[in-house]
This record gives sequence, C-alpha cells and structure tokens, in this order.
Amino acid sequence: MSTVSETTTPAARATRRASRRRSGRAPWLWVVPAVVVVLALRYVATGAGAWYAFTDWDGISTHARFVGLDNFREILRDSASRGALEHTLELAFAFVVVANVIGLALALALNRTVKTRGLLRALFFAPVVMSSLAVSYIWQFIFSYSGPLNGGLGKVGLDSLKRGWTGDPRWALWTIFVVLVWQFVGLSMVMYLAGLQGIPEELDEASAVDGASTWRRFRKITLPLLAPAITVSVTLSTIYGLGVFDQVFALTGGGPVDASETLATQIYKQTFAFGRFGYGTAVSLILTVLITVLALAQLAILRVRESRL
Amino acid sequence: MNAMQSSPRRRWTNLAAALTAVAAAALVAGVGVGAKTHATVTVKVLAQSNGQGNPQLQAVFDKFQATHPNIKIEATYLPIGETYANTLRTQLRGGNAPDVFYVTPGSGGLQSLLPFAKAGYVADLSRRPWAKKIPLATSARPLYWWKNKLWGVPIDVVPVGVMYHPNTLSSLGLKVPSTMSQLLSACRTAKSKGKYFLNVAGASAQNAGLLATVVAGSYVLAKDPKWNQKRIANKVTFAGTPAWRTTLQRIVDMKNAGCFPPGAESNDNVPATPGFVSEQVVGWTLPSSITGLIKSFNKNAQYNFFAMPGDRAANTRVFSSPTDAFAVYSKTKVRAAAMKLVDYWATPAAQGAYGKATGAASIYQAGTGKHLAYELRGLAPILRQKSKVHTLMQVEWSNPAVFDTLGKDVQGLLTGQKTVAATLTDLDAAWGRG
Repeated sequence: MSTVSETTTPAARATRRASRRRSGRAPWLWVVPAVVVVLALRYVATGAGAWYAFTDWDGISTHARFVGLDNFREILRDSASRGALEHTLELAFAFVVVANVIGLALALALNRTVKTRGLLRALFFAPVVMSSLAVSYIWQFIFSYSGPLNGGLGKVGLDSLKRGWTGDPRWALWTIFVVLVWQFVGLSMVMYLAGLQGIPEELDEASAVDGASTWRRFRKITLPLLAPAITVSVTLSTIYGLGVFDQVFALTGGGPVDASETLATQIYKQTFAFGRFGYGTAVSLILTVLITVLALAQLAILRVRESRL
Repeated sequence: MNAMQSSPRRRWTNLAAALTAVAAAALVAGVGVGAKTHATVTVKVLAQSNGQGNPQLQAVFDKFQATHPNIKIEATYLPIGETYANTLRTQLRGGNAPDVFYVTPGSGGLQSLLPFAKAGYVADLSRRPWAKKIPLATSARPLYWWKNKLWGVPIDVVPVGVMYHPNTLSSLGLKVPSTMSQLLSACRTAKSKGKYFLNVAGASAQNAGLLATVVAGSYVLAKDPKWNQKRIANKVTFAGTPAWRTTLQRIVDMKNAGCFPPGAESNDNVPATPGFVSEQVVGWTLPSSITGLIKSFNKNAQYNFFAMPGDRAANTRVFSSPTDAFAVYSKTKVRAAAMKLVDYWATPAAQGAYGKATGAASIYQAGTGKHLAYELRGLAPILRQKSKVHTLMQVEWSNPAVFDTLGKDVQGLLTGQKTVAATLTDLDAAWGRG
C-alpha cells in the first residue's frame, strides 16, 4: 500500500515526469554526433559542390568564374543533353515495368511448387552479384558483329538481321535495356519472393475452395498483400534505372552519336572527358532533382495505393 | 688541494677531451651529411600504360637508375584517357602530384601540357642545358613553349599512318595506294576476295577521329598548311573549308567502297583488334607508338606503314609529332632528382632506346628518316620531306571536345546518323566551347 501511495504523491509524479523528459532527451543527444557527421559529409559537402553548377570551373584552374544559370541554359539548348534526358526517362520507364513484371513472374513461379526452386532462385539471382562492368563487357561480345547473337541469327537463316547491335542507333539503347533487365530481375524476384513468403497460404487455399480462379486469387489476394514489396521493388528499380551508368559506359559509351547517352554518362563525359566541371555539376544537379522527385512521387502514390488495398 | 680543483694540466686535458668530443661529433655529423648526400631519393612518376603497365618506359627508367644509383624511380602506370587524366588532375589539385608525369603537348587533350603550365602546376624547364638544343620542329614549338618558357621534355616523335600487313597486301595482288582513288579501288578488290582493306574502331572517338585527321592531313593541310593557326585565330571554320568537306566525304566514300569490316562502327579498340592482327583486315590507321603492342598479339605477322594518300600522290601528307612528353611538378620536393630524370629523357640514348621499343622515333632521328623502327620503313621517304610532315592537328585544337566530336561524328557518318554538313557544324560548335 505504501508503494502505491508513494507513486501517487505529486512529488513522485514530478520525478517521473522529469525522468521521462530526461530519457526522452537522451536518445537525441546520442544521435546528434551522427547527424552532424552525416549532414557535414553528405549534405553540406554535396550542397557546397552544387555551387560549381553555377560556375565555369574546368577542373584545374584555381579560380572558378560565376556564370549564373548559363550552364542550365546550355543544357536546355544542347540537343545531346536533351537527348540524354529523354533516353534516361525512356530507359528507366521501360526498365521499371519489364524488370518488375519479370521479377514478379519469376517469384510466383519459384515461390512454392517447383522442386528445383532453390537452384533456380540461385541461378536467377546470380547476375545481381556480378560486377555490372564485367557483365556488360560479356554482353558487348554477345552483341558484337561476330558475336554469338549474330551467329545464332545466321544459323537460322536470318542473316539480314545481323548487325553490330551496340553500334546501331535504333538498337543501342535497347541493348542496354536488355542487360539492365537481365541483371536486375534477380533482385526484383527476391523482393517479391520475400513478400510472397509473408502471405498466409490458408488465404489462397480458402479462396480456391470457394471456387476463385487462379487469376482472381492473384488479383484479389496476392497482389494486395504484395503491395509493400511492389513499393520497394518499383522505387529501387526507378532509382537504379534513372542513374544507370556502368552498362551504358561499357556497352555503347553513349553512342553511336549520343543515341544511347543518359544523364549519368553525360555527367561523366562533360566533367571528366571534357574537363567541364561546372557544366557536369549542373547536369548532375538535374539528375539528382529528377531522381528525388520521381522516387518520392512514386513512393507517395504507391503508399496511398497500399493503404487502399 | 681539493681533488676536484682543476690544475692547469687537468684543464688542458679537459679541453682536449672536449675538443676531441666536438671533433668526433663533427666527424659523425660529417658522415651524416655525407650519407645524406648519397641517400636514395625517390622520384614518383605517373605515366601512361599500354596494356599491362608500360615495359618500354620502365626499361628506360631502369637504365636511368643504373646510372643514377642514388635516385629511385617509383613509377605508376595508368591507362591513357580519362582514367589517367583524372587521376593526375586530382593529384595536382590535391597537392600530392607525382614529381614527374606524362603529358601530351599543346592544349587539345585532358592531359595536355599547356593548361597545366597556365595553372602553375609544372616547372619551367627552359634553363635545362638541352632546352634550346633539342630539335623540336618549329610547328611543335608552341605546343611546348609558353611565355618563352619550356614546360615539358618530348620523349619521342610519333609518326601516324596506316599500319598494314605487307604480305596480305601482296597476296591480294595489291600495292600500297598512292592516291585516294587507288585506295578506294583496293577496298573493292579486298572485299571481293573476302578481306577488308581498312580497319576502324568506330565506337572509339579516338580512333575514328584519328582516321579523319589523317585523311585531313592530305586534304586540308596539303591545301593550307597553316589551317590550324587560322582556325585558332578564327579566320577559318570547319564548315567554311571545302577541304574539310572533302575529307569527310572521303570517309563516306570509304564506307561505300566497302573499306571497313562489317560492324566496324560498333567496335571499340579491343573488339577491332583481332580482325586486324589475324590479317582479315589489311590496314589500320594507328600511331606508330603502338607498334610494339600490336606486334605482341601476333608475333608472326609482318607490318609496315603507308601514308594516307590524298586525291593526288603529291598531296599526301603525314603526321609526325612529339606527342609524348614528361613534365616536372612545380612543387616537387625532389626537384634536383626530377630534373635529372627529364635531362636523361632529353638524351638521344634514352629516346633512341624508347623509340626502338615502341615503334616511335627519337626526336633526334625522326627528321632524318634514318634509324627508324623496321615497321616504319614505308614512311621513311616522306618523313625526310619536311614540307610534307605536320604536327598532329588535334593537339593544337581549342579543347578536347572538338576531337571527341570529330570521332563521334565519324561514327555517325558510318551509321548514317550524320551528314558531312552536320559534322562540320558540330565541329565549329565544339570549338566555340573551348
């Protein structure tokens, strides 16, 4: 009884409140150093670097001249930069759709029924852990004029289709798309598999007993419960697709004549190949804003849909 | 008398002991000074690699070390291009640059000498004993000298031409073409016999651009040897120069005559190499400094060079220029040793050994047409005609984007994405960004 009375006295309540305030404050104090380091190294440094977007710095001069918005105006005027923006969006959109559809299909196929699913999952996931550059160079050989793709076409009598795929302006961007999808579907598959593993089997079985078709069960049960996995996979693939560099660099170098140029390769070329650090920073600012806006918008839309499902 | 009191004798003894100690200390210090003088000084060098490291450069560094036992060369080799240029630029900006580093002369590339000199990163070499004696061609002088100071030491002279397989050429019943029409005819003949006459790595802006400038030599410079200077002074433009239009048209003509192997437009240097070294393709426009590397892929193959012809044999021109050089970091802490190294590179012995190993020529021998690498025998007659030898055009251009645009648009001419007129407009636009 005495304990109860002690805890209910005003003094005890005040002590508890003070203690709660202290314990509520303590975690923030612990977090402050980490937050400062992250802010300083990531955001302040990046923000300071962004200043170069408004200069004509060439990378070696000791002085960078302020040019205002000139770099941004040039980006809008330059057909190569505009083309790079278009290619980036085109590639990212196609990649997000196809990689997620194939990833989901693979996850559904390898979720339960197939006996060798463990081996198949490993095989489909293997490209994810390979170096993007190494994979791209192998694909470059496959797409070359004397490579196995043209060899196969020749063997089935389709000689007229033979070409240097990475050097063909109509196909160059799509060779990159193929490699991107080939390398990413494994990761997408794993994310969907994780989601599928969380769906209770009983729900599917009960609806099957009630006579729901496979397609209806997929639409009404699996897909809604898979919504969080879709959000993660689509958001990650959007970020990956918008920032693609390695595959473009190794397969086509952005060519032929800018036909497969993306914003990331433009940044590299302008900054490091032509020594136009100011201009390159301006392009990278645009890419950063683009990725942030698209990823956040997509995330918001998917979250809303998640809650509705 | 206190035992501790000093007698005169004792004082003398103490003084003698003190003097002995001082003398001994001085002696020790003297030995120290001597040891310091003979201590090994390390000179850090950053240079371009050709494949795995650069054995040809390393061989010269080894010889230097053999004659300078107190100087150790610590060389790092990086692939030439953006990797090399950006590493060097970052180190220069960061204040931890190598003591001696590879550069290309002029200002048209990312690792070009003159922008580094203007930014204060390289040391003045004009007081070196060889500075005024080294036989630098008049046309190449502005690529090394700025404000009456010399900023780099040329380490070789690199003739550029069409490297070819003489035996394959004979087996096709062909001779070295002396006019462009003969070259186009040779392309048709080679193709009819299942081979291709000219290689090009269309996806490599460097190689595609080199093909265009080599053709331009026998058109643009044959017509106006001072075209580059006029372009720098904005007195001419690419689009306004008929010879440039003809140059690019000849590349289209080559494509139409079947000069290039199928898929050439999509090949980078590496995928383009097997076709050439296996003799499926007769010739390839290359700098002679790459001869050693090409030979290493097929040791049985025989090679020679010819100059890219113009419309008339008399118009044929060749590029031979001191396109490789070393510079000394202006803030090096081992200035004396670094200077000794560049002094060594300025000697005929070092340049001769390097040229022999790479296929380039020593700056002392290039103009004579003598003592050239065996593979350069086809170029020897024209190399002796000073009026027909030019410095590689692009090293004088305003910025790296001009040559990159040329290479990229040549690929466009091969794929059909670009017209001659559009290419010329692009080149002038790229020039304006310099």
